Amino acid sequence: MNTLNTRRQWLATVFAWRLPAALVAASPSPAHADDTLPRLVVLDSTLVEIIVALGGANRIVGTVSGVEHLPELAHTPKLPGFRQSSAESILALTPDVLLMGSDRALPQTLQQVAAAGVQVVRLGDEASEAAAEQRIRAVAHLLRRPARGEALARRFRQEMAQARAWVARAKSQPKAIFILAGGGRPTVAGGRGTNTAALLEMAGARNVANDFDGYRILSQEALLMAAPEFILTNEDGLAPSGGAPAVLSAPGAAATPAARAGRLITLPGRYLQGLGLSTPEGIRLLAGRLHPELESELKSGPGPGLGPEPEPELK
Amino acid sequence: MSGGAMASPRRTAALALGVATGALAAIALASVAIGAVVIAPSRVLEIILAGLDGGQDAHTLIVWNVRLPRVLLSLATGAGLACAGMRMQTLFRNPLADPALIGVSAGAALGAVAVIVLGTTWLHGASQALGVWTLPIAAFAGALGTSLLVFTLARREGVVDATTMLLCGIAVNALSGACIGLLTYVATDAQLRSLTFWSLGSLGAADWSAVAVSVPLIAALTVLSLRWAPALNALLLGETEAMHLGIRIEWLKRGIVAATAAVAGVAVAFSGVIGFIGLVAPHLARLLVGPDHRRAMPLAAVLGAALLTLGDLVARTLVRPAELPLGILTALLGAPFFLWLLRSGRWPGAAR
Repeated sequence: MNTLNTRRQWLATVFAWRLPAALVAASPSPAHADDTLPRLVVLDSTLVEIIVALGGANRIVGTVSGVEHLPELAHTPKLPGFRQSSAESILALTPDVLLMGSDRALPQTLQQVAAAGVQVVRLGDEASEAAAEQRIRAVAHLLRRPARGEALARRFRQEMAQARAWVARAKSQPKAIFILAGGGRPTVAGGRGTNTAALLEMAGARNVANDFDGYRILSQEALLMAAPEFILTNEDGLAPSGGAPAVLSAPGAAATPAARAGRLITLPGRYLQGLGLSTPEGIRLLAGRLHPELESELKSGPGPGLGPEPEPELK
Repeated sequence: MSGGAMASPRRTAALALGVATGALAAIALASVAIGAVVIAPSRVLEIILAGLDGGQDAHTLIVWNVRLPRVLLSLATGAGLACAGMRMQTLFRNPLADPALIGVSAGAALGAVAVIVLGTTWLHGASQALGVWTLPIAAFAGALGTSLLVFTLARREGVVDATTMLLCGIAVNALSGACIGLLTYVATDAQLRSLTFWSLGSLGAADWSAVAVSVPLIAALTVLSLRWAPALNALLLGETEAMHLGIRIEWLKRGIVAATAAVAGVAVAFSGVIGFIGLVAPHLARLLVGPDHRRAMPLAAVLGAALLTLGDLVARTLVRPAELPLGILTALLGAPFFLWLLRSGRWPGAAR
């Protein structure tokens, strides 16, 4: 797969000057493609979601992993790894703009990309609603669709407000924790300031891993004493480590109320990556599991426009 | 080998072993008594005496299901790695040798990283079939696979040359490292986080099933190491000399490599890569009682167990309720100690 990518990038470099741009990037070329808009390499899945929602998917010529849920980008080249270290790999995609949240490339790589005439745009990754709205507006500005951006930002604000109002009716604030699935060993939990802790709190849970910042190895004893009633984990990490049993069978996790009652909540990575358009849906999915009374309330009477089935993506 | 001249070193050895065992017992007791959650030592004793039926309260579960298996696993792992290190140093007649040299750690890491990164795609079938055991089994298979490869590559006409094996080990280590790098490169964010934490080493996943697998295996191979002591002593003189003394040298080499791969493979499968114990404990033992394996081997086992258990005690209590990765701590404490050993002028010349 790596070789394939490299070859594709090499071909792109060689043929960039004689083939139509859309063909080189192997991206679908819909009828309404606006060729005057910038070609984008986007190193952040939450920003990709915004671009897709604004109808700009065909301007993305390269991105990173974490966008597997977006069929529009199925054939878009993906740059591997967390931090990009090769300016040439990026330049081979012939972008006009390199877009990201926080820095996801080495400083010298960014310098080289900028020196080659590519505009480098950082929109930050602050996990607040206001910041998320700002990111929507900034992306819309880049795509020269300010009105659609304003509408999307408003829609996002409404969805967040609805989700919050729904969660506010919950009758409990259960203790919960995010445990990173994948290696299965050691137990890594999401502490203060992580996206997962923010999501748990927005969904009306109390994060019990609140004694430290970031993702850290949590002591099995501390996990046992913290006695979470729910354990949240990332769906994509379950398969390699033996699925749900591996997360729940760690010596400290096994004795928690969550493990005893089998209350493991798995969410796809898209809801855990950062505050963005997927967040309202993530809150609803998570809160529905954390607060069964909210789900039954939905079944007995119509809620505030929130079915148990998530609404379709913003268009 | 008897008489007044030998009485003094023998007494020194007995004394060193006695003191080390005492220290080991104290460290083990402290490890059961102390943890991220504060439980009064008297209560811990009560819980242990009451047995597993003593109740299902949090403190009982912590002592029985978290602390005891963890202490037992660290004792076995420490002793196993120390003996494996000593066998390697003697086999290669090189003071720097440790189990990592024949590719055990790199191979295990490659197996684990492959499962973490490819577990949802290429290795999906395997991870479905093996469940919770996928990762330990992959790591163990990687450890055995690479050491077998090193051993086979170093073999010419039925004879294994130690120097060739050392060089093959370096090459295979580099190859495994490159493959790990390649997998790291294609990993997603969550996978990267998982594999970083995995490779730092930790005894955090110790449970009774890990103890049931590793303790009997490591105990059996440690006893075997002690029985090999005279043969290892002969090997210190050189391979030809050992052969003239009637040692079946090729079988001994095979045995040493197989035992080391098994011990270090099991250790790394359950705890990730834990450096320096296999290097420091044997040197410390030789420093105290000299190079005779009959004395140095048991002492190295006790010191290895004590050092690793102490390291783990620090790792899991220093930043509670979080934990420091054990691999970082053993290197952090091990490296300066090793340097001190080198510079102190008391260097025993390792495997002379």
